[in-house]
Amino acid sequence: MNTRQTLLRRGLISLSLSLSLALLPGCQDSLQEEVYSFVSADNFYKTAADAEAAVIAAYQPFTSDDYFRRNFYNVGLLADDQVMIGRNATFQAVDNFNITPDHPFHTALWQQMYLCINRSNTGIQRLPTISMDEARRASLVGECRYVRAYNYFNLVRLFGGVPMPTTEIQSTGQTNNPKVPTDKVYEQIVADLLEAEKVLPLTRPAAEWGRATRGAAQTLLAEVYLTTERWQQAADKAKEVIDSKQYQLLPDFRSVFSISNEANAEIIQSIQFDGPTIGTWFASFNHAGGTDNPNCFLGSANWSVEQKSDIWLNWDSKDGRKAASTYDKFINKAGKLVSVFDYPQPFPGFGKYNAPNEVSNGNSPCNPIIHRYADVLLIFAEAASQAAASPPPAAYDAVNQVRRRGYKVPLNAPSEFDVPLGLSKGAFRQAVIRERSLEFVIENKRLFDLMRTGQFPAIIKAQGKNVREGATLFPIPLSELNSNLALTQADQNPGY
Amino acid sequence: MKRLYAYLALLITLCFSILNPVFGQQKVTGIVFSGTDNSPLPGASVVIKGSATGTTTDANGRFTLTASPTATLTVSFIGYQNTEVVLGNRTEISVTLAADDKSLNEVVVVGYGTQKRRDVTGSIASVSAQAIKEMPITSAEQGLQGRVAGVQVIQSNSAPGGAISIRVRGGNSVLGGNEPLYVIDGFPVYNSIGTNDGQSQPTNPLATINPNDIVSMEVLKDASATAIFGARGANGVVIITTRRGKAGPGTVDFEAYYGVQTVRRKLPLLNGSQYMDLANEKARNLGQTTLPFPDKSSWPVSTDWQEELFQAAPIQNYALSFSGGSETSRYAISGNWFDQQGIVIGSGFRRGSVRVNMDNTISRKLSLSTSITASRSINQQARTSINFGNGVVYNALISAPLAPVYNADGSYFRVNTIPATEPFGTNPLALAQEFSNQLVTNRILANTNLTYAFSPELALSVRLGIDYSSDRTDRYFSRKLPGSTGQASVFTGEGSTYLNENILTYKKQIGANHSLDATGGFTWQESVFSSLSASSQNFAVDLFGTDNLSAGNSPGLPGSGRSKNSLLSWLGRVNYGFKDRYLLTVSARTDGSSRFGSGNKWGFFPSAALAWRVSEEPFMKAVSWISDLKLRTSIGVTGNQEIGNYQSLNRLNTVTSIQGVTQAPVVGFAVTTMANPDLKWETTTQYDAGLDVSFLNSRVNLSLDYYVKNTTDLLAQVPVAISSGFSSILLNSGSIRNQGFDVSIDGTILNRRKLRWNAGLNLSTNQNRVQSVAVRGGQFFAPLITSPVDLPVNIIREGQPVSAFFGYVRDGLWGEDQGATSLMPNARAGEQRYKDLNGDGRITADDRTILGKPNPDLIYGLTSQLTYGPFDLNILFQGVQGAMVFNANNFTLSDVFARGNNQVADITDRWTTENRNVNAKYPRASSVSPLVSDRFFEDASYFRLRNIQLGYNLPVGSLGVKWLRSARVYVSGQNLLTVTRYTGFDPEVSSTAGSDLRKGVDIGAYPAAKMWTAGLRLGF
Repeated sequence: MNTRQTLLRRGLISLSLSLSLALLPGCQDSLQEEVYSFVSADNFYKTAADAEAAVIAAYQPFTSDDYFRRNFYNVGLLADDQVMIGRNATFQAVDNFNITPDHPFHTALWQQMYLCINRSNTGIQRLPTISMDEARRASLVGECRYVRAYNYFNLVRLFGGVPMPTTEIQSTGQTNNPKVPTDKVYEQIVADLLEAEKVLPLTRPAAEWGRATRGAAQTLLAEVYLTTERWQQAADKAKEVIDSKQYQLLPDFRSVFSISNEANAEIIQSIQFDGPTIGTWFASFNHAGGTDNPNCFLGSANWSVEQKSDIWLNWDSKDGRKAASTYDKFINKAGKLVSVFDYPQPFPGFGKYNAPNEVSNGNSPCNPIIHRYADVLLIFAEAASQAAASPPPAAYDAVNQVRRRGYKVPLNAPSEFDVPLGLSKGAFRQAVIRERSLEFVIENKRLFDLMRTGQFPAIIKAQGKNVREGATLFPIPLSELNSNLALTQADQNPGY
Repeated sequence: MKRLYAYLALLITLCFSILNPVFGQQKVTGIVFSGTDNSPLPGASVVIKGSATGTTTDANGRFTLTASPTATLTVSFIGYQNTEVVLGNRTEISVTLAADDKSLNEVVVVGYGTQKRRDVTGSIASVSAQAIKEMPITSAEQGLQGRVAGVQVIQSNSAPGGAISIRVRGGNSVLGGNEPLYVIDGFPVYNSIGTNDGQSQPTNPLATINPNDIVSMEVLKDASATAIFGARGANGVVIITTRRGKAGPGTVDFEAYYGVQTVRRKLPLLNGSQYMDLANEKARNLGQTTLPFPDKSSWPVSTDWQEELFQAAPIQNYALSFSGGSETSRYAISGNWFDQQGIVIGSGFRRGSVRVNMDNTISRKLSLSTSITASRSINQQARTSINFGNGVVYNALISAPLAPVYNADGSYFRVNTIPATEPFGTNPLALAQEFSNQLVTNRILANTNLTYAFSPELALSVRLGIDYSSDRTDRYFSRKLPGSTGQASVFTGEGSTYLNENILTYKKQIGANHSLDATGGFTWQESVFSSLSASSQNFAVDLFGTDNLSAGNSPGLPGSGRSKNSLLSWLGRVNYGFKDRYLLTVSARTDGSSRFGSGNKWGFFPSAALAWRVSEEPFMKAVSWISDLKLRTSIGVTGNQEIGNYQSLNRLNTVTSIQGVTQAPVVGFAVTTMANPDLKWETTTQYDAGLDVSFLNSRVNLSLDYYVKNTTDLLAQVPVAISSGFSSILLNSGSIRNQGFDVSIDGTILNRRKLRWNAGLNLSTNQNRVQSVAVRGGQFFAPLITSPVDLPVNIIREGQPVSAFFGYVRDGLWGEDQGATSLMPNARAGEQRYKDLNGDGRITADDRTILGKPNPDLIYGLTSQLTYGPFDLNILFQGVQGAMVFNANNFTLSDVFARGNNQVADITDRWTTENRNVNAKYPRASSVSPLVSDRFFEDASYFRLRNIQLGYNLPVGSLGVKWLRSARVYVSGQNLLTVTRYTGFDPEVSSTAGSDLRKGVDIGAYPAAKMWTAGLRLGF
């Protein structure tokens, strides 16, 4: 073997050995994971921008499939007495209010609500340590309180007492929270909203439309008081919103829901969807007639009118809201008037949500409305009447404004369509509840009205629905019961 | 294609520069005989030792070459022992080759080394190149199907280049990877089967490697064999070895085949007239006065959508390889072009690849072994999504058979405008032709291994390698798709894995009785992955596809990501043999992985095995009919680190929402995962007891293994209280047990002069059981199957197999309309009745029960090789028993028109007002959707003629064609016969792959093909 070969050989060996040895210490460090595409919680919540990002995150679950894109409405609408579905056993179980604790819809909804809550808790806990403009910081914390309160309000109404974490959860040791009785949940909601109304702005710049305002917090608080039958407080809070003069009834009922006019003067709080990037399923779900229907990508009749319901059987045709809210005939894409009963899903549709240029089902830009001014008026009417010995004139005036707008007559002049004077407290309340049932068709308020007035689920049972025996609330999801060590089967709601 | 030719030309030039002709001094002639029957052996290789000079024997076993008198000739032939002959002054010689006792002396590739078959203590199965070449395959692991006991090959979809899952002795993992580790020429590669992306079924990363190059595949099954791979060994290891050059004259081989694939079967569905009758019947049942088809003659067209969608598709493959070299420098170089069109129009897979394997002896002590493969594959994926409604096959099944494909103006007919049809369907041809989804993958897998022998006993190997791949997916929804305004997206990804291994080996025979073989070393492997995506929609024209995103009016949010993981390991193994009959193997590996939590960075994986070669004992010498008998047992611990990157960290991710009057996207940051600093590998403890026995001079070989695998510390998304704002945390919790038998038997049934018949049978049982899950109720569900099912059909429940099926049980049809006191108060006469299993007097979700399982009890393969003179016939049967499939297609296709879609042909056996038969197979036509019941869970057992090949070896020697070494032509057929009761396209189906817990689900999956091919192989 010549020298060159020997040298080459030695060179190769020493090269590879030194490579190997050089790698060794470096490798030890390389077992620490290097992150590139996300941040770790320890490096965050330091700046004003971080604070803004944390608050956006608290709202974000609202736009998920399982919350406002469709599932919250699937749960709330199908269970009520106005909406039904003609197929699909999973949906029909909700329609019949005969679900098991492992049903996917309420489980997924529960999860999204607590996602909002944990992110709000994070904001409430972390933001005060960030050094930034103090007023802005307080306002951001106020938003978190609003989001937290709204979610607990939904939870307590659908499920009764629920686990109620109010601090950020970071590790497994903090995940097991016991069921808290309903009155404690309401206490927390009220406390949050009283804080929020102090710090939230009266109005928002255009770029922040959709974020909570003082009016949103106060309207929510009024509804919370109404639900807990704190009548005077409900009436007072609603009155505060009315007196703020920030909101008004639009003259035309349909235009409240027009997708070209979503930031209108009647809206107090809505969830924003642009359609193509993130859209709701509302237009396709509330229409019938498949692709013949020009008002959506395809009318899939997921929410059809229950033909045994009061709104289908007894709604006065002179009320403009009727045609804007339900139909059994529509003009198809060919321009012909056709009947929904000639379609494979032969059920009347709702016409409230329309998106004629929707690119696909699930891409409607319709913004689900949490509160609008009509709500404030009707909360005020009901609460003011309940708080008094008999319905006061202001209560009549509030409910009649809503009616007159529906009947397309001047808002401030008495009309033949007004609620008749001289009703008893009970009859007046019934009239307001019915008014709500007409005004808010498929706005996800009916089920909660039925629940708080004790009519649920008797009213759908009377329609012949195969209702689960003994159930009045939704079941705590099975996966929560199974995984929350602070809960036992005894915490499950009756009937499950 | 052009580029490929250029590569090949370059390679050819390269080879000829390596060839080094040597000239001898005297002419030598000779003849080579077979030791088994003393007949002349054609095709045997005769090489002058230490040179590249040599020849092969002709049809009469004769050869001629020139050599110096001092030369030694090496004579070799497959199946015979190599024999060396010192030439001396002889010019005419005769050589008789003794038959190789193959099963014992063949070399088996094991982790970080090789062993003789007789010394192996673990459970290792081998598949030869010959077996792999018997049928056309896209990807190496397909060659394992039906050939190795204990290995289940799940062709999850039959799309060209589609994902294939391999389970060695059952699945161990619920959430982690279940695929075995592949070691390709020494480079460990995890074949990460993607999950369903909602557009197409997952693709197969291993399809980027040309299976023609493979010379053997070894499947390491028990812990004794796999523990040396530590945290990656739990799912078994498949070692792939490609062809390397041998010293001797240069050889050139050319292979080609061409075939045609057709859909194996079409589903029998209603024709146009029957469809209209059913639609009218449903309308009457619903009391509708206007019938959807009052006049059937106004719908004269009847379209068979399956006929429109499926095509006879060609498949072709060409491979050219060169090998040879001298004692000091050997090469094997190959190029391959593979092109498979899919039976669904618009789909297909193409691959071009080049491999260079070089072996160099630098000096007496130093040698270098290099393997480089480069490939480019192009996968045109059909839209066979698991999401109902947008899959192309699913739409071809459900679409009304009335619609023409095109309108008069050439646009696509909108199938959902047909009366009575549910509005969800899309024209299947539009989906096939106007949606394009192309994945291009470029991959280079290269490694070089430098070995320095300090002494004959002690050697050090240093391996350096890289696995680089870049891929790009282009997706375009054309404007011709209903509702589409043109939507383009591009995803690119780039991954690099670096490898360094440093292995010391020591082999020593001490005295007559002790043999020692020790291996130890340290290895490092690191992977970096980055991705980038962009999209745009609202195009004015379809002209650009994905080539001009800025032409779209609405750009989407761009995306990018980067991740990294590394693995650092120490390993060691000692094989000790006493008197050649008591064998002991002890191995251990310590793995440090970046994926593990800070509290659990290092894992230790030991194993031990004992084997007793009973046949070597003196008392067995008298038992002449047993030629070999070995008892084996092993125990060991292996891990599974396929838990994903960054799973132990507390992560904040971006979330997108909408705000503002203009409804603009806004980005927030939220904690999306809870930290788990204790996160670690999954641990599998495996016990194996086995027996290898050969009878009648190794004419019959039997191998039997029993194993139990207990996997603990199961990686699980353990549900935490959802009220915490998290739904789950990744924990090591829960356990699964797999146990079963692997049996394989092969033998030479006939061995005459011209007639030889070998046959083999392998079968394996596997029982898979969830021992514990980390949920209080002892069960949780797999994710939902999308609409119209809207429910999970798989459940993970203690005491049951993983992903067991779950649903209602049917109980005939209702004879009368039901009332308030009924189990189903709203049911009408003729509707489906279900069993009230919990006896509460109502049919609710509580009446669901376990209905079966997706994984088989038994898998088996049957092989036969029959040789008669120059002809041979190879057959492979293969099957599974005891598996079930959720036929989700039938959820729509047999809902008796509830959703207005086309129906299976036997829907005619239904309840009607004229024939009120409560025993009919199907209920009345109505709007009532079926529940997820036993009707949809079908027996997916099957027995299949996987492959049959008839070949003819031309007697090139007797033809006097000097330049031709060998020539073979063959015809073969795949999937020509399948016996099954499954009513869908094919029982071998899974719309999901990888770690998806939804298993055994058929939702518009790409159907299986039947294939005829003809091919030839030429050796020069």
